[in-house]
Amino acid sequence: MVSDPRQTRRLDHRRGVTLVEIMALLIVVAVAVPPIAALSASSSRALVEERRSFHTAWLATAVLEQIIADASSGEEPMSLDAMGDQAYLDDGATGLRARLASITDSYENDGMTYEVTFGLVRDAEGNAIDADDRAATRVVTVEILYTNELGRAVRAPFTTVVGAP
Amino acid sequence: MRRRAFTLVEMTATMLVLGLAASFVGPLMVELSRGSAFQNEARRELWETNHALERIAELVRTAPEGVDQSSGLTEISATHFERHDGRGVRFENGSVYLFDDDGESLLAENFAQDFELRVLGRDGVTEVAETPEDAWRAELGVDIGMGMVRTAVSLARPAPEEAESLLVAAYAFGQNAWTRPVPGDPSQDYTKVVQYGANFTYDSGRGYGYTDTSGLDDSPNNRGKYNGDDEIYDQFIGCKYAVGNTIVFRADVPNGEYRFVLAGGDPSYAHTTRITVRDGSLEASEQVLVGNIAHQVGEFFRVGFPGHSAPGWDGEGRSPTFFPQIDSPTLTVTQGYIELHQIDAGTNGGCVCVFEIWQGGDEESPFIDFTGYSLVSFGGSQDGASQRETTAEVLDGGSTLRLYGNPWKAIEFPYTVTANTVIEFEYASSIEGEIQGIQTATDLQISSQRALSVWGTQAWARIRPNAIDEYDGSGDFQQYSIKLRDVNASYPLGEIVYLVFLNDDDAGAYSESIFRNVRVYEDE
Repeated sequence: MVSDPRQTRRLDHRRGVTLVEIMALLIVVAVAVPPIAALSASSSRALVEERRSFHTAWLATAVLEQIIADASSGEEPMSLDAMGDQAYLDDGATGLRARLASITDSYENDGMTYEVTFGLVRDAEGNAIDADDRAATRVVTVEILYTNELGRAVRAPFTTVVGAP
Repeated sequence: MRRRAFTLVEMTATMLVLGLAASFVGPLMVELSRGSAFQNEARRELWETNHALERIAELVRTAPEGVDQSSGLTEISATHFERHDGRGVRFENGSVYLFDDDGESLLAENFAQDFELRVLGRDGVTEVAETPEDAWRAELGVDIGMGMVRTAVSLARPAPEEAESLLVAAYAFGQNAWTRPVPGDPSQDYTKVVQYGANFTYDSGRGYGYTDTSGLDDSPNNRGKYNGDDEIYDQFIGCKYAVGNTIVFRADVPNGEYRFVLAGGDPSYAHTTRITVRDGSLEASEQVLVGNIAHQVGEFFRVGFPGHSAPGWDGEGRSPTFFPQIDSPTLTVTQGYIELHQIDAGTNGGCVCVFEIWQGGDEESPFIDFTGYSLVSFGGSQDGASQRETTAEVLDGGSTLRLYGNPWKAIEFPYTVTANTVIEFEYASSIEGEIQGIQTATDLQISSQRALSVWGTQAWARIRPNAIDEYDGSGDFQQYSIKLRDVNASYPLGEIVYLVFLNDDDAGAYSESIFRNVRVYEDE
């Protein structure tokens, strides 16, 4: 069988891929894949952080709204004055933490806790006063604490002013 | 140089290398793609959860127009709530339905995997599903695939606004003219009453000043302990020398209802103080502002009422110490002036630093406290006529007067009856007498023109049945709110001295009348 000299010539002129070229390609792929994978991991962390942000806001909302309801309830153990006592927060059955447990437990299981601090009692004109029945307002700060995806401790403060009824 | 094609060996090696690479990179890329899709889905669920919870919380939180301290909720369960204006939320078959002003809307179909709602009362512990009007706070949760997200909302509404009060006069007392603005009305300064100054003694043209200084601590007091705005507590006018020593400050005011802001104490000495106010000089009208309070050095008593208090301390340097604020009583003024009685209840006392007089807007007149009155026999021989029994008992801490037998009893109750005067009371009886009701009086004589009978067999003074519903005899309390000129167009107007309670029963003397929560006020 006689080969067509023109075809042979055409083949002779076609150039293949060398092993070096393939190795270069593999190196390029090897370099590109880890950043893509890292980007995906980062995006995943961002989603978790986004979820944390929402949960932080809802947990702080729950605590602050409960304090607002307490302050305006007219119930003596929950007055602006009483909020200065540790018992307001920690009393076994009726303290704020106990009353909020049904809401906060799921957040705490997720590694989120909260702290509450109260400012001075002020009268209607904004003057700091000894706690008494002239008490009109009090600044409340709720801080949500958790460890983020990078392992850093986060304190997210939320502050508002609550008023007496 | 001529290039040559792959050899079979080279081709096989290349295929192996590429295959090996693809086996790693391919699944990785697939996973990355899947992860991205999952993240997008999770992010969407996260935002939807947040959005849903925000909308639900807003619906739960926002009370309908017009509700005050009640929640406006009419129905509550673990899966739904509804307000009286139709707004609400219901979770049903995986869908959350919102009811807003525009009617029903579906947040999303087959949307939520779970939903929680718990409504609690003011104490934060008691569930109030059976009494939704008591709802004060709510706990919410919704699960849209990312787990249950919970929060709480307050249903608290602002307290009804206090009736607006008008500052009629504000006085500060002391040794010199130093004064400061009134906290409740900063546009005004306290009028400083200076001991032995030009405005110390009462003058009818000025309209204020002391009318009795017999018990005065004659050494003007300016202690030099406090500075800045606290100077107001560094000065005062008070009594000295003996228990019971009294000084009387008079302020001319229009007739009406008044409440007071007052503060007093001494930065240097311990005192015991009693302070009262009177409608004019009528002793029977006396209301106690400060009742025999012992206050040590730097301790100050204060009287006030919601939204109105004596000045607070300025927070700088040495400051006064305040007792809890005493709630001011309401004084009905019919004599055109108020007397402030400053009484030494120890060896020193009665010291007053500031005294504010506030006319109450539409505040309700207080009920009569019968413990503060003497029951006077009324109508001459009518009280206990025919030697009948005349029992009169004050019950329920002073809010109730029970008459049994044949009594006519009066209390001294100075008042100016106008075309707007209303007498309000609750009445109960289980045994009918002859004339059972209330009368106003200028003296101790009976008057069919002034009497208002709500029950009894005799027609004397019986304005009913035309204008007053006859008592039904059930023994239960029935409320009466009688505008005098509405039931009797010629009802006598002008000043009265007595309010009379009668249970006339000459024949049998075994009937009774019980009057509760009695008050007289002007229905403007």
